[in-house]
Amino acid sequence: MRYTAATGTRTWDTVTEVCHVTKYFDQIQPVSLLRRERRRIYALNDVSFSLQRGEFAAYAGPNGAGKSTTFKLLCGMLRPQQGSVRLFGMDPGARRIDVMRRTGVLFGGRNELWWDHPVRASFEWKKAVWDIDEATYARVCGEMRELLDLGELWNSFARELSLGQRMRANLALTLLHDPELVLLDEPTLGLDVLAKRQMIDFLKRVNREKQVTLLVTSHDMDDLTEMANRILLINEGRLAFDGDYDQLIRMAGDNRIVKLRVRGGAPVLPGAQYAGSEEGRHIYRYDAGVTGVQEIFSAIAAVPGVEDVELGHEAIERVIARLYSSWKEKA
Amino acid sequence: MAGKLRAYVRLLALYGRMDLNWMLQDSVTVIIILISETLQNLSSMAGVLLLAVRFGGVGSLSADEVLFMLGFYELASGLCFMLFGNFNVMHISRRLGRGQLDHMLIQPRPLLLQLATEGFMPFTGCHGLIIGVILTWIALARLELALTPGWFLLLAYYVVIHMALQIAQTALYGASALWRPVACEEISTMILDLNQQLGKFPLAGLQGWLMAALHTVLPVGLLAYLPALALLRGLGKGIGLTLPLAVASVFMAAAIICMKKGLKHYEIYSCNRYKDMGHRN
Repeated sequence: MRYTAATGTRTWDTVTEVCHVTKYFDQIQPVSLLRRERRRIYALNDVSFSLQRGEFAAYAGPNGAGKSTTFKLLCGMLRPQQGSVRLFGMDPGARRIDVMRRTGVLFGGRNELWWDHPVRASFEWKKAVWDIDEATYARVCGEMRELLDLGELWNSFARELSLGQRMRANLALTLLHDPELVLLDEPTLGLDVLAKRQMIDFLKRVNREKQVTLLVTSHDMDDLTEMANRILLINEGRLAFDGDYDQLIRMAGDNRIVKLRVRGGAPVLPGAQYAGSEEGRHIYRYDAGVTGVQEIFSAIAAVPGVEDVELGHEAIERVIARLYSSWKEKA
Repeated sequence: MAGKLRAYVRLLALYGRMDLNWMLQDSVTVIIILISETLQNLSSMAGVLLLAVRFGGVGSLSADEVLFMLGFYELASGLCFMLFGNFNVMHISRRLGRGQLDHMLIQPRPLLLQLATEGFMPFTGCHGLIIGVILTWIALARLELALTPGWFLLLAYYVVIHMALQIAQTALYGASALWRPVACEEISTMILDLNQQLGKFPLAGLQGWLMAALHTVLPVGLLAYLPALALLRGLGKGIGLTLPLAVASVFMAAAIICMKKGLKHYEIYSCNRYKDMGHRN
């Protein structure tokens, strides 16, 4: 039995292992008419993480944080300057073909369907190129057609599909060879509420029922926290957070929101901080770890003319945005 | 080896079937494309042929010999187009410059096998080959040449040299798109256009240094002019057989080296550009 160096777990269980990876790009930038300056940009700086079989991990970060670079490293398209990347215990750069037989990849905003052919033709194409046996093809095709509602699209030309339909077909195509690891870059980008719901439910089901390991990026943190049971936050090339949703909330501070509708101007609420007003409601923010809910209720009760009260968690988007800003300030 | 050959044939059959499906499903578009490309092929030859007919030949070549040369060019380039013309395989700088190499790298197949099969278009890409065969046949009938098995073997040799030169050049210059994706996106197209324009021109009568350059550095003379001379009049082994093979080998080797270097560069820098335009269209 082989064990991985970084985590000490069996390689069979470790689907992906990124070990102290550094990836930088050297750029030559014009600083004046005649002068050029060489600048080194770190896309990833000493990043380590591993994914176990059956994990569903979200990979998030602001634009330019290094998400796409990580995906390209995992697919063997890029090589790191330092560190190592292993998929199923193999170097994806050296053993691209073996790795790709077991991995499904869908890059954001890209299309794997054959444009001028019916959707069916793209599936038949993949069957031949990936050498998928008849039984697997029939089984997975049947599942995908049912779960992703592809029946009506099956004979339509890819160019005639809407964005949501195209994403569904692309996702089904990505999963056609029954991959053990699926890398999805922005799978919910541009989808409407219904299509997004369908996509998220499908991914959760695939992860649960087939034990497929999923690594998903998205700009929509609400989607990611709903889908994934592990969140990897990357910022300026460094892994800034690796844990579950509750740990993330604890790290960012358990911020809660109070929305008050009162007659007159915004009152002072002891223990909470006024954050602004919108649509006749005054919004306050407080840290539940510092101020207890009892104190907040007492403070609200002391305010005269309260018409309505709403309590809730701070949106995850805001939590992440605040984290990004604080990291930027520290840097 | 047998496994590789089986995979090659299987993929070739797949892309051939896809080409047939496209032709049957989108017949109107296919007919319009075929007519326009046939007209383009014929018009690109018309100038040289009309000049040859008007003046009773060009340089030392008679009008019928010029017709044979044009027919040979169409035949060889038509076969090349039929085998590698689809999905910008021959216009490789487009795929590299548009960042579409990633689509190939996620397929569990060697890159070379993908490139060798993806461009196959036996139904919608055979018009050049058909025109070439017809023109060559007409020219041969008029020239009343004695055709032997050896002659056909020589014809096949020059067709292979022609294809090797076209592919090597498009790959050699196209590899630059791995370093400069935007600037070099269309470089393969420029090379193929240049070959089409100069390769169909009878070079007889040009100065010696220019003739040498056009048979080595910019080997347009090896695409149709020298093969026509060798097939119609016979040339010595050195010029007729060894020179084309040597030049094609040098270009092939250079293309392989540059592509390998370009792919190494791609592993470090990737492509910061992506355009889906033309991808799988």
